[in-house]
Amino acid sequence: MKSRFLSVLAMAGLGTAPVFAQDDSGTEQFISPVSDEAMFEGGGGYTSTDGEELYNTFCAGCHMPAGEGASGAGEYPPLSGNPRLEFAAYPITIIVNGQGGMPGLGHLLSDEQVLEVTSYIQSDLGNDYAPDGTLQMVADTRPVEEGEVLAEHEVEEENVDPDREDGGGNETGVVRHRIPNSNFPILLAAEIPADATLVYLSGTVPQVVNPDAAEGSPERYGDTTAQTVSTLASIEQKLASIGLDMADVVKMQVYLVSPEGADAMDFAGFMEGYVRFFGTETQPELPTRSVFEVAGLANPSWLVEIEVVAVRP
Amino acid sequence: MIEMSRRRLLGMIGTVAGSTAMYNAMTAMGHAQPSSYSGPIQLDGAPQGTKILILGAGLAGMTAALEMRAAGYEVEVLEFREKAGGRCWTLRSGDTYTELGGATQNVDFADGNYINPGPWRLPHNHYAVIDYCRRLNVPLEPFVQTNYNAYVHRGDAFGGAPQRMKHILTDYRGHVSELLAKAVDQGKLDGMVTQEDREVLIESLRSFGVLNDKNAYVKSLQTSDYRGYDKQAGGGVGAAPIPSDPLDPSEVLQSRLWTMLATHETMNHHAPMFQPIGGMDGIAKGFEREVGDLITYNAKVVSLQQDDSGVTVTWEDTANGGATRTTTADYCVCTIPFSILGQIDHNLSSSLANVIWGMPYNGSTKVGLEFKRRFWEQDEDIYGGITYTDQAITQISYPSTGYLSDGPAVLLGGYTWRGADTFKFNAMQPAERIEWALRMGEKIHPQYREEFKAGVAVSWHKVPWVLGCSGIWEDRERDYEDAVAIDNRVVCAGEHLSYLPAWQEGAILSSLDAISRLHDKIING
Repeated sequence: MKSRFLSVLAMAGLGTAPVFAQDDSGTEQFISPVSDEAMFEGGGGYTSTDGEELYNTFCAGCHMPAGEGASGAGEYPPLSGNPRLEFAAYPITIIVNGQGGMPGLGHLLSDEQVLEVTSYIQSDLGNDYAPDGTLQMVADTRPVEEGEVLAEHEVEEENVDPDREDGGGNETGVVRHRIPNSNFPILLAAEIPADATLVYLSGTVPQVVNPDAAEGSPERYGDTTAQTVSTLASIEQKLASIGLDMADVVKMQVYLVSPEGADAMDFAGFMEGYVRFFGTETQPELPTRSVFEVAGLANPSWLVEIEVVAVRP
Repeated sequence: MIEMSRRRLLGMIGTVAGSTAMYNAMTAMGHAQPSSYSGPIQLDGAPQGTKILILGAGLAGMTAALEMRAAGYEVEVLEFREKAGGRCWTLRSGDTYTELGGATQNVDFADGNYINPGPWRLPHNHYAVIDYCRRLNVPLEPFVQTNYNAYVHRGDAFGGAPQRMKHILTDYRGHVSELLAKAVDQGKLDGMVTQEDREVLIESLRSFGVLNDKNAYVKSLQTSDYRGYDKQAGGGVGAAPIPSDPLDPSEVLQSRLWTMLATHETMNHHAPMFQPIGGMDGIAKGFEREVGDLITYNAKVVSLQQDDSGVTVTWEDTANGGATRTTTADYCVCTIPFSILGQIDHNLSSSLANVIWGMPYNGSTKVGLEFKRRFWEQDEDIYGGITYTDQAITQISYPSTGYLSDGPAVLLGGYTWRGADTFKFNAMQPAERIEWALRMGEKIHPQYREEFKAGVAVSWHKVPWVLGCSGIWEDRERDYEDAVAIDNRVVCAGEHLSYLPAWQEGAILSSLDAISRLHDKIING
């Protein structure tokens, strides 16, 4: 930057009169954060690669000079003290592609400019995050133009990922990401389109498998495997009653109680029941899943309680 | 030969050439109305006691309020601002405007002088807004879009000297016509032009380009009658006109100043254009006279919820310490810009919510400059019209009113539309924007510094009630139907839900369409 005059902040609230300073020769000198030569050169685009200067001449218009944001009928979120700036991927995505009322700005900035301004807002404006963005990250964030030849790594990610399944039997638009190089029957991630209808089932508990067994006896509900099977069967019924099936399940939380006399939950026993419902020949879909050991459930005989979330096709 | 249906043909024309071309093609095929506006709407038979809540008292909201009350509905309007009109807005002497960030501008114009920061001209073919001006007794006057004596200017053309549009227009047309006429005459276009047409074509080019009988565009009284003389015809002694020299053909081409001739020819800028006398907010005031009693001002909507029984809107009464209030209704017409609505807690359906959240808003900057005298009239014989420049200000528009008067006058000293320059102006304080407008404008009018009196600069990203100028469709083909559909008890309307974005006509037509469909749903289920 060739010259930097007084901060624009000093000018706020001065009404409509242009602000001038007198230099030694007595000619009027306009107070600007950016030198004359730099402001509108380059056919109207942004030419600077200085993160601070880009911020002051671009982002500051809405997010304000100190990153404090602004509030009218709606808001411009503050960047100062914004925990979402800890990792560069988030601001880079928004700068390049926009969000809400903010237009995507990627077409006005080079990869280097996006990176520099990202690093600036991560580490300045009262933020103290270590800039972790890379030029590659910016390039990867840009939308793919029609007819664009993809780089090799993009082709792998987008088109030939063997661990990715689009849709599923029920055309929900859900993207199910398998765990790479693993046969463990849960997903790495499930990607749910924004217009999907999510259905949350209440926690479901085991069914009595031996009505002849005494109340409170371990035989009445069976072991962890038996309880898992009756619980999942019950879930399958509930889903069917509202027009869904196990293939629609995208998320599962499993609560297991340690059987009497055991040191810990019977995870292997649970898995034995689980694999009868998920990843089978007739029902190949898998959900994302978490399993927790808990101290107890509402009925002392219960060893299993399961919650699921399904996507309506 | 691929067989092509008429519908598919129109679709292809639309895809390749844009909706204007499709519209023109449809008109030529005799199947289009001149406009989707076919006169005042008649909504009859509103069920007694049915209440409509309208969010926003801009042109879309007030159109809905006026027509739905006339239909017999109970109508209530909530407006964020302290007055009606939204982007239909005029800043005049004595007004104060505070933008986001806190910079306050006190408009120091002479009495009666104003600037329209938002819409500023009405095409005569925007039938709906013109008809509402008629019905609401909003007096109009001509807005001069095209002025042959205004300038076209580029820093890299003619040494940076502004050129009168009449010179560039006439010379460009003359030189191009000469080339074409010679090519035809020499038989170079015989494959494309029949022998019959050849003679007529040359005759028409002589007329169109002002060519002589050798098909040449040269210095003559004839060409000067179009481009202007060195000395104009007069009366009495020494009154004979002296012709002027046309500009060099190559220089005219290379100057690229011809790029600045096209806007005038587009349908939205065809003469005559109009403006409300005294400021664009004359239209807002016209509506307000009719429906002002229905509007609650200073109401910041924070929640919009609907269920099977009705609509509940929660809002903050910003005139009374932000007290939370609730308004219920049977149905809602929501004209809140999507830049704001996307931040409001609502339970609209996901298909509509996706469009709301996915619509960015563009920016725009306007700078109004008041000068002590009308030097453009007095020194340069420019009465209204627009000078175009390749500088960031893009144009200077001279006032289409108050001609020949003494005293200060306001011109539009800059008008940016999207792009990097808009963001640069947006990041500046108002005084900086004004200073830049002066710096750029003085390259065209050296009188600027000497005559400058006061300025106002509005950057639309910083306008608190909209955060932008107009909605941008990321994919209109994909999203439009979802966005305009009635969502249970709520229908959205505004310029953003039209094919005339940023025009008031778009806002009104969107509103008329939305309330017609809503009324039909209320009556017929």
